[in-house]
Amino acid sequence: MRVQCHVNGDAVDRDVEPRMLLSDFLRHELRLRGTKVGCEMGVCGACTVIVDGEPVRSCLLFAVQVTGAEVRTVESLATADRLSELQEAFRKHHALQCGYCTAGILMTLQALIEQDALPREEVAIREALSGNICRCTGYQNIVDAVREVAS
Amino acid sequence: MKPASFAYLRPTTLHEALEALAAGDGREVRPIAGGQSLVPLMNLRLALPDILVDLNGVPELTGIRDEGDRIRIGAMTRQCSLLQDPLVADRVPLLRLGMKHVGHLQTRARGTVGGSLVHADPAAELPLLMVTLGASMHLQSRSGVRDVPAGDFFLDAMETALASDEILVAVSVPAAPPGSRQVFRELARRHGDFAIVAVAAQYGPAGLALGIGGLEKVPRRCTELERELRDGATDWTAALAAEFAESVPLSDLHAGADYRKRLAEVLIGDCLTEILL
Repeated sequence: MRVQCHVNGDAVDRDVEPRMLLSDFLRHELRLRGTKVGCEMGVCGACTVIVDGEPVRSCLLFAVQVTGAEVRTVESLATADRLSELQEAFRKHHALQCGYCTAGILMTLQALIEQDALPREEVAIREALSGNICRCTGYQNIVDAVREVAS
Repeated sequence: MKPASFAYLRPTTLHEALEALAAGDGREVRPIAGGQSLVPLMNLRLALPDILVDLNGVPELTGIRDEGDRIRIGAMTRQCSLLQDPLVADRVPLLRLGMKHVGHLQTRARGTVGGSLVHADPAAELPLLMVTLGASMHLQSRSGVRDVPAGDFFLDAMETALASDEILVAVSVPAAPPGSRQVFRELARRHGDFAIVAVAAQYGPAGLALGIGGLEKVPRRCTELERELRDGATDWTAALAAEFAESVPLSDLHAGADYRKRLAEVLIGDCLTEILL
């Protein structure tokens, strides 16, 4: 079945099985491996991408469902020679260790930035990130990075 | 895991969707709404539909409308809309209170009001809210439409009155009477998780409506409690005992039956304290 959409601004036109998950489409069809697959059942958030401006779990979408949509992945954040402001804050505050959850967290936050809804208080930041699990950092450095960007 | 193969249909009208649901020929046809409950089941191969009918392209199913004494919510309305829409905040505030406990940013962005209702998890907040508020479910099939009161819609854990060729198209919720008060209390392992027990209550000129969810296989009104309080009882401990005398609470790895029952009593007590005093 055909899927026609835009991914990170580029037009995409492929033929895939209906059962191919968006996460697998991005990683294997388009070779955009920044998006990670953690649980494949919608609880960990590692696979979060932005579809039509909203942060969504790409493991819970079929590729064929995003025909006509604008999809953005973590690869869209940095330019050839610069990290985004958000990524730079993560680097500065050591907000990642293994990095497996990071793409999902960045895209969740990026969606909030674009909706002008990035929280600036600790409790609100933790609540916004409640759908993303991190096993390494204990979240505090992530909160600090977000606080810097939000200010 | 990866889901099993299926055929995928993307109707653009409600009529097309209903035709697709009725035309299975013995194969299993299922609608997909937000997919936040269905796709995990498919990925785990606990659900194996042969044909998936995607409702995301059917515009008639979205939207929140003011109908005077009721608010009509299209079944495909995204859950986050209940948190953002001023009509909901103003006219059915209890929905907004409960919605804060549902899932996470990403699941609310895609998950739908109708999807949660037809999934009918015993611990889900939306079924509890609709039962407490006396909402009406609007069901439609190729043969026609019918309305089912929320109290009659949830039959068992994960089971509703929806027939296999029907779609929930909208839910109508009575607007809160002016001057009424609302409270919602839930205990969950983590914020956003399914409730271990949740209580929703609205108190206004017409009296008290109090619903309990997560305790039993389906959410329900605490009619015994409501009646005793309406008749003037001031000690609700006895009323609670009467309400749950016949109750068979759920028991699972999160909480045993006794704990759930105790939790229900505590949360209801908190709600009543806040809403009546």
